Amino acid sequence: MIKKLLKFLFTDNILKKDIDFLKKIVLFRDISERCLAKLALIVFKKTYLAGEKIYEIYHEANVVYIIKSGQVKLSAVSGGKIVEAENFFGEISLIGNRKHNCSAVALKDSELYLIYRSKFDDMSSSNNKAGLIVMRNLASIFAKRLKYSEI
Amino acid sequence: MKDGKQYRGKTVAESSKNKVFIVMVMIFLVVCLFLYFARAILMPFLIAAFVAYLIFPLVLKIQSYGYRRWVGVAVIAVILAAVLAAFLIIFIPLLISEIEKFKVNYSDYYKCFSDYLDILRRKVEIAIPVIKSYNISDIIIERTRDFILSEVQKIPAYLMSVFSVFSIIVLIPMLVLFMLLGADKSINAALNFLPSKYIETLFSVIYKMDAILGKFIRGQIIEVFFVGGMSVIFLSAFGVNFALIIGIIAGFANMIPYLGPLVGLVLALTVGIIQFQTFAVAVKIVVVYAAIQFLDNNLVQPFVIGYNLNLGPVAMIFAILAGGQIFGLLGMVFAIPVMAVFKTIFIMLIQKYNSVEI
Repeated sequence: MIKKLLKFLFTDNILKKDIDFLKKIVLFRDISERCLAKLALIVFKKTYLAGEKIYEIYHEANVVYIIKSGQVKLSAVSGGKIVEAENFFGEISLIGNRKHNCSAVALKDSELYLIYRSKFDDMSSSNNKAGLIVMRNLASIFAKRLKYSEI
Repeated sequence: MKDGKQYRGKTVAESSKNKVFIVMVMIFLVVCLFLYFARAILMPFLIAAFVAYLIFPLVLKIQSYGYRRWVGVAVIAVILAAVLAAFLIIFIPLLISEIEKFKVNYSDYYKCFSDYLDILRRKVEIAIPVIKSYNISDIIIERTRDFILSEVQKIPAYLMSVFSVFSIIVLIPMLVLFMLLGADKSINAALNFLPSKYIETLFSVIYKMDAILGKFIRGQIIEVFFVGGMSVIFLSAFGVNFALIIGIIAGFANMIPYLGPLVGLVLALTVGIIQFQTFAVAVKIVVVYAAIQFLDNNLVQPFVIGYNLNLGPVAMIFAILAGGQIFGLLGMVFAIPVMAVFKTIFIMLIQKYNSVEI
């Protein structure tokens, strides 16, 4: 009983839920719980209404977006796709000063977690291992995409 | 009608960019105006924001172990309270006794200084007789005396008013506490209202400001401790009176580029020369202050701060004087980072404005 009360008083349940959510994201696979906690503390939570533009094609890419709930439509010149909850987009921004290669519109009311590149860079410079793992995950995602588009 | 449509079709992107620009400028002006009118009560809020901004990463660090925000804030608050209490117990009685001593001895000091000026005048007039015929030395001495009578006497009162007991013990800690507990939520809520179109640009601006201000504030604090500490150590070693007050003033004054370092030097020189009635101590003080400045500029600044605000000396002097004119001492201290922040924002806006990509 007392243990429960103490746990309730001291542990941050919202943070814990955020960590559990981030664990499911492919980009953050194999990252330690502590780093996920750091990430969860730097995310900016924003709600987009259905039909709201998130970003437009060729705009400066500074933020990676993770979908907590809802649905987002990405459309590029070559085609489009619909991204569901527990997925992410705008990952090109993690690599460097790039521009978005598609535009994004919320199809339903969506709650997104935004991670700004320089915040992510700060995190990975204080924890190289986590940064390396994220980059490896990103590389394997890009490699998979290349495999289907070429050869 | 047709013309109007064409016009709108052609320049829709440009006109929206213009709108952003105009709105930004207007917000900037309104904020400046407001701050100008509220400048009398700004000090405790600024110091609290300063402290909260510094402590916030530590709170986040504790929070990242899975604890609630208030646990982090409480831990830091207890540590800070202990440090503050130690500071109050050790330094405040010393400081007050020095200030009292200064108040009591002020008339003696003034007399000593006045006599010394007379001696100096005679020496100079013998060396350069022309000065006597034009009464230049009389004018200079009169001005210096007036300045010392009117301005120097204000220093202790000013120190006391800046660090009033109420603001140190009650107001500032309370403000820091509230800022740590909830200010980021309010800021996030405000950001959530902004159109999503601008969110990435806004993040760039905010994080650039954060980077500049963070480096600046951390750097300033280290510099204040370095310059102040070195001053206290060396002045005490030379046996100069009021070493603690002079050291503290020199440390804080050092926050103002170009003008600040001179303040500590002039104070130390004045007290030293009056106290010892020789130039030997003056030479020592000048050498020490030069050495402190040299170390500060060449070791501490590049090593600890490692930043380059890329502002020219003329722009910096202008910013300092303008800040001093509008906001007084605070304006002089914050002139440089504020200017650096605005420079960054304007460069970003101009880059956005120029890159027409539709």
